[in-house]
Amino acid sequence: MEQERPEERDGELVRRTLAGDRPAFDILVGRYQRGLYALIRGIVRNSADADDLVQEAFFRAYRYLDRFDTDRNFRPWIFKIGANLSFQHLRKQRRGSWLSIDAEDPSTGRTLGDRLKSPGAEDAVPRRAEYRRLSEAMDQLPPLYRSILVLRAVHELHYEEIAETLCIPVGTVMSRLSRARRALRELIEPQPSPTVESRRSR
Amino acid sequence: MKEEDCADIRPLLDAWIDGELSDSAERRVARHAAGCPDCREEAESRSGIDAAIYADDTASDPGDAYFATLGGRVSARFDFGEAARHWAKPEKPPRRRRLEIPRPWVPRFAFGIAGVAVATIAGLLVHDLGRQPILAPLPRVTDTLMETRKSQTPVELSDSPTGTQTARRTPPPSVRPAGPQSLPQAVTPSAGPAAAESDEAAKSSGNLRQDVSGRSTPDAPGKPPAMLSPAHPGVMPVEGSSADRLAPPREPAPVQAAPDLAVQPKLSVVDSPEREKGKGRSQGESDHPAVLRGDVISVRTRFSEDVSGANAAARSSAFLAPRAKDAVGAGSAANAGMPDRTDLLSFFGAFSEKWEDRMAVASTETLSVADHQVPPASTDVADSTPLRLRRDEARALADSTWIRLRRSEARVLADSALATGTLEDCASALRAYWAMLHRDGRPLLPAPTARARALEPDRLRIERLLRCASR
Repeated sequence: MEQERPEERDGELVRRTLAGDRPAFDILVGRYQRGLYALIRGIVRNSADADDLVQEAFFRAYRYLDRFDTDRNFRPWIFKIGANLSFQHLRKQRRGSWLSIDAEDPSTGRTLGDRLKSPGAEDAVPRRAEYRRLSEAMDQLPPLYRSILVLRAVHELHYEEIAETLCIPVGTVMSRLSRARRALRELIEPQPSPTVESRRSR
Repeated sequence: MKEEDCADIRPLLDAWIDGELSDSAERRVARHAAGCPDCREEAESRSGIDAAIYADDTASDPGDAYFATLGGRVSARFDFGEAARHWAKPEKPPRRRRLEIPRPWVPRFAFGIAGVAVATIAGLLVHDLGRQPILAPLPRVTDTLMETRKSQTPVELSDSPTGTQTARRTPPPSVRPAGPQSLPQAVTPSAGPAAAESDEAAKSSGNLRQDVSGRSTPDAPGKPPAMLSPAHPGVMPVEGSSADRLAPPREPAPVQAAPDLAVQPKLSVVDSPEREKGKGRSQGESDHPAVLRGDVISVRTRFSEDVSGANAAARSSAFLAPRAKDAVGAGSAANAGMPDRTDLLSFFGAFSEKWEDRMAVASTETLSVADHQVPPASTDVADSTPLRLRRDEARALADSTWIRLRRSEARVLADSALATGTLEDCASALRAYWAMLHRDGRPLLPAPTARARALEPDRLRIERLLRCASR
């Protein structure tokens, strides 16, 4: 029952790193690499890119470590760096492989936004087989939606922490998360209860 | 029961399943969902999405081998010497944007003069304000402290028929030193008849207040005027009958209560499962699985991977049952709902390890309604040792202010410590409570925020109070 907390706080590790203690930074990397990787991969949707970007994020964090406020938590900071790098990366790539909320579907002439606005409209949209799988649906989402979904669903951050990480107000978190979930569900399939079978028990 | 429109509720559904709504909004949504299968279904499907995303993420996890080498690859890229030189560089003066002065003829020194003026005024204000203890939200803790105390030593107050109203009307205690120095304020017109509580005020007051003061004097001979300080001019006794309500002040001011603290409270945790069951689902949601499910979802978010999360939630909600009711004649109710040590530690532990171990245990955290639907039976807690946070636990709790707790949760912790912990525990718990406290339904952000810093003086004052009490 007792919670053992042998770990040092993030701020202390940063202080040690700045004092020249390299292994201290390795501890930080070990502590957040998995989470950071999940976030970045969730946004860029590509493992190879994610690998690069995770390293780049840690590199930048290290380079600018003196700017880190040691009273704060390391996680939002490194996440912010990772998210920004990911967005930057996607902007550079401009593959256009995700749906913009305003992009028209050539087959129907309607935007995803339209479909989301009118609740009963999904019947009119032909189901696309390739949207069946969730990961493919995630690929199609705008990166902003992806990031917020990953931060919530995978990292289970609270809204305030998401707001801090993405530099947006809490109210925006709430509305954007809501839209993102709806958009994703739309993409998976119009029927509700799309993921019953993928729900896993502990 | 479908008074509220689904359109109003839908935007809140996501925040609801995420456990991010304020308590009142949460009740609103829960009430609506209880009578609206559509919204329930919608909430369910949305919560399912998160689980799917999580599953997708887990599936694309590159595995331990990848992460075992990642650190090495990261540091291989670093030029540590370069970075160190970079840090060592003298801090560049922060680029400050020059204040654009559209009218160049405004003399520079005008700003200086304005600055001095502002500083002076501010200084005066602060000086004045400094004498007014600002402790508005504190009463909730002391409040409970008093209630708990009351439950130990039954006081005849509990049979007061108007007790509920009294409880509500009683102004939050302030730490204004109970003494004549507060009198000048007490008799000011702005204080209203409420100030008539003190003897002196009664003497100096006109016939208007006669009956009030006449009654209150025998009832509360030593009552400090702080109780009804002008800080709460809104508490206005109505003539005549209201004197009854006013007369037995339910809670002494903290200053007075302070000596009590020297006595270590020894409350045993009496746990009555059936009571909890009744109270835990106080909103008439009965056994509807979907509603229960909704509850559990939010519970899961708040209680994290805690196995007995549902149980603890039931308990805490029992504990946080309507205060007015607990306050009057139901002192034992507060006891009955008190979380026991196991609950509290697992509850607290779930928070403290939340972020550190989150990634490690993430794979076990998926939402599973089935797991939670039958809350673990609360066994033999009746005889469990009273909760008492150890010093390191309390400190860890106090240190964990960056973790977001709901106010109600923080209060459970603080209240528990107050009931059975040592004074130090109380101080730590109060500190934690303070750090998490907020005024407008939103919890404070971690300590580095300006608002949290602003609360620091209050926190110190509480601690001082507790320290005085222990002497």
